Amino acid sequence: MTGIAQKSLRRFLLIDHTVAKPPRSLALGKHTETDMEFATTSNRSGSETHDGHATRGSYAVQINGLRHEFGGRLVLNIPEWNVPPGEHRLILGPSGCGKTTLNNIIAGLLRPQAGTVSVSGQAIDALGPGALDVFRGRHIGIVFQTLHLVPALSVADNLHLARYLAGLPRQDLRVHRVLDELGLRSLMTARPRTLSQGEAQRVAIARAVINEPTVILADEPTSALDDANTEQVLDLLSGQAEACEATLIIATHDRRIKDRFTAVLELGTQQ
Amino acid sequence: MNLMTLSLAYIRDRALNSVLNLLLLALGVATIVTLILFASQFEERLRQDARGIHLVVGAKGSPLQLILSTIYHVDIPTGNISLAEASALSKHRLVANAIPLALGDAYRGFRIVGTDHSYPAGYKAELAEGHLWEKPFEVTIGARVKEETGLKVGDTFHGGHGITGSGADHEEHAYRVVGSYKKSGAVIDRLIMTPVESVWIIHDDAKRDKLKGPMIEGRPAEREITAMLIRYRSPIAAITLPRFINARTRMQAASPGFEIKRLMALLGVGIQTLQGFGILLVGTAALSMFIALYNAMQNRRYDIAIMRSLGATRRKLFCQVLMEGLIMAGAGTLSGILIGHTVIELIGQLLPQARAMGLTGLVWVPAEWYLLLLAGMVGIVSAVVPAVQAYRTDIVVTLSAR
Repeated sequence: MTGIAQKSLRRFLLIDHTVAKPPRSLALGKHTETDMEFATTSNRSGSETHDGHATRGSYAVQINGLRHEFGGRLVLNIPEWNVPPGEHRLILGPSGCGKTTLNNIIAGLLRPQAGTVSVSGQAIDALGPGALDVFRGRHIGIVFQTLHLVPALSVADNLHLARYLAGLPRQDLRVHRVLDELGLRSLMTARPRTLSQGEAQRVAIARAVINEPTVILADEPTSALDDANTEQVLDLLSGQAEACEATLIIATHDRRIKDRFTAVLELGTQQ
Repeated sequence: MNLMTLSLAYIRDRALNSVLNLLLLALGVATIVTLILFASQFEERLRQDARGIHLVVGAKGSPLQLILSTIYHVDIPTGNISLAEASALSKHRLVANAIPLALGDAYRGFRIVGTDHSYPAGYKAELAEGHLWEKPFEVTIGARVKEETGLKVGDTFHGGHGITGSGADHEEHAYRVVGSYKKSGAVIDRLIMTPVESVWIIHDDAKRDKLKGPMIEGRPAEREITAMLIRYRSPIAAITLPRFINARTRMQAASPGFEIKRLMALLGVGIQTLQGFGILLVGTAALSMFIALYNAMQNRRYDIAIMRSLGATRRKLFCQVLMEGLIMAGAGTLSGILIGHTVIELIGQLLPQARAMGLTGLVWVPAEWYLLLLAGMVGIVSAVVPAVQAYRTDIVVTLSAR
C-alpha cells in the first residue's frame, strides 16, 4: 500500500480497540474532503476502488460521519461508506471490532451516536421508533449470527411471520419458492428445534430474503461452518441477494471468504 | 399469520402448561357459574311458586316448615287445622281468596293434594287433556307426574300414606285420572289434585279400620284440612291479619315472602362461602397464568427481539402478549361457563330433588356477563407485566446476549 493509502486508512478507517485510550486524536471530521470509497480495498488489484459511478442518494447504504462509542470506547468511526444497489460487500475484522455494531446500526436496531445512515435513500435516524421498525421489516433482511428462529412456529410459518410483521400480504407461492430454492421444501412443517444447524441457517436466510429487501445483512454467517458449507452458504446468500436484486453485506472475521468479494470494508486493523 | 395465530402458536408451544392453567381457571369459573345458576333458579322457583299467595294458615309449628310443606310440597305438614275455624277465617273481610289444602297421601313420590279449582288457577295452569276433578277420587295430574308415572286419562291408582307414598296403601279407594295439565314449570307440575273430600273419605276409613270401632256413617265429628292459602283483599291485611290469626286462633299464619327471605339468607351464607372459594380459584388461576407467561417471556426475549428486527413495532408485540393472556383467560372462562352449565343441567336431570325444582343449565343468567368482564380482567392482570417486558425488550442487548 502507498503511504497515502496507509494514512487514509489510519485516519478514517479504524479504530484501535486494543489501546486503552480512545483514538480521539485521529483526524476526525476531516474525512468529508474526500468522496473516495476509502474503506474499500480491492483484492484483485490490491488498490482502492472507487464507487463514484453511483450518484449520491441512490446508494443502497450510505454512511456519513458515523461514530459510535461503547462503554466509553470508540468502536466505530466511519466517515463515509457508500454501497450502490445490488452490490455485495464484506465487512471484515476481528471479534469486537464493531462489525456487529455496524450491522445493527445499518439495520436500524441501534441508533448511531453521531453521523447519518441512509438505506435506500431513507435516513433511518430520521424515522420514529415505530416507523423505523416498519421500514426495517420492509427493506432490510437480517441473518443473525445465532439465527434466532421462532421455536413455536413451523419453518413455513417463520417465513409467513416475517411477511406479516413487515405488514406485507401473505404469499404462499413466494414462501414455497424460497423454500424450494433453499432446499427446505420438505421441512416446511418442521419445528426449528428439530433442524440441524445447516438447515436452521438456510431457514434464517430464507426469512431474511422473504420480503425481497433492498439490503441483506448477514452477521458471521460462516463462523460455525466448515469450508464446504461455507461455500454453500455464501452461494445461497449471494444467489438469493441477486434474485431479489438486494445489496448483500456480510460482516465476518472469517478471512476464508475474503476472496469472494471485490470490495471489503476492513475494521479494527492497523496497517 | 397474524397476532392471533402467533399467540395460539405460543399457547400450543407450552401446551401442558396452558391446559393446566386453562383448567384451573375453568374450575374457578365453573364453581361460580354453578352457584349463580343454582341460586338464581332456586330463588326464582321459590318466588314463582309463592306468587299470589300472601299468607299460609296452618297448624302451629315452624313457619318455615308450614311454607315448605304447603307451597313447595317438600316438607311434612305441621299438622291439621279445623275446617270450621278455617272456613270462618276465609270469610274474614280482609281475605280475598282462600284455597283449602288437604295433604297426607302420595303416589310414587308425587303428592296427592285435596284442594279446589282455584289452586291450579292461581298458577295459570292449562289443561293438556281431559277435565278438572269434580267428584271424589277424580284426579287431575301435573305434567311431570304424567311424564314419570305414565298415568293417562282413565287410569286408576291407589295412593299411599305419607308424603312419599311409601306408606301403607289405601287399597279400598282407587283414584281415577280425569285430566292432566300442560307443563307450567310451577310446583303443580308434580302434584296430583283431587277434591278435599277424597282425602277425608280415605282417612275416615283408615281411622275407622284402625279403631275397629263403630262410626257414624259418613260423617265424623269434625272435619280437618292441612292448611289454607290466603290472598289479601288489601295491603292492610299484611299488618293485621297474621297477628289476628296467631293471637286469636289455634292456627298459625306464615308469610311466604318473609320465609323465603329467611331461607335465602340462611342459604346465602353457604352460597357466598362457595362463591368466595370460586373467586379464590380464579385468582389462583390468574396468578398461575401470570407466572407461566412471565417465565415464557424469559425464554422469548430472543423471539421478541427477532420479531422487532423483522419489523414488528413495540406496540404490536405488547398487544401480542396481552392477546395471549386474553385468549387463555377467555378460553378458560368460556370452558368454565360451559362446565358450570353442564353440571347444573346434569344435576337437574339426575337428582330427583333438583328435577322436582326444574333445575336447568340451559338458561343464561345476566350475572354471567360479569364473568366475561372477569375473564378480561384475569387476562389483563396475567399478561400486562409480561407485555410490558416485551414492550421494553432492547433488541440489540438481547440479541448480543447469547
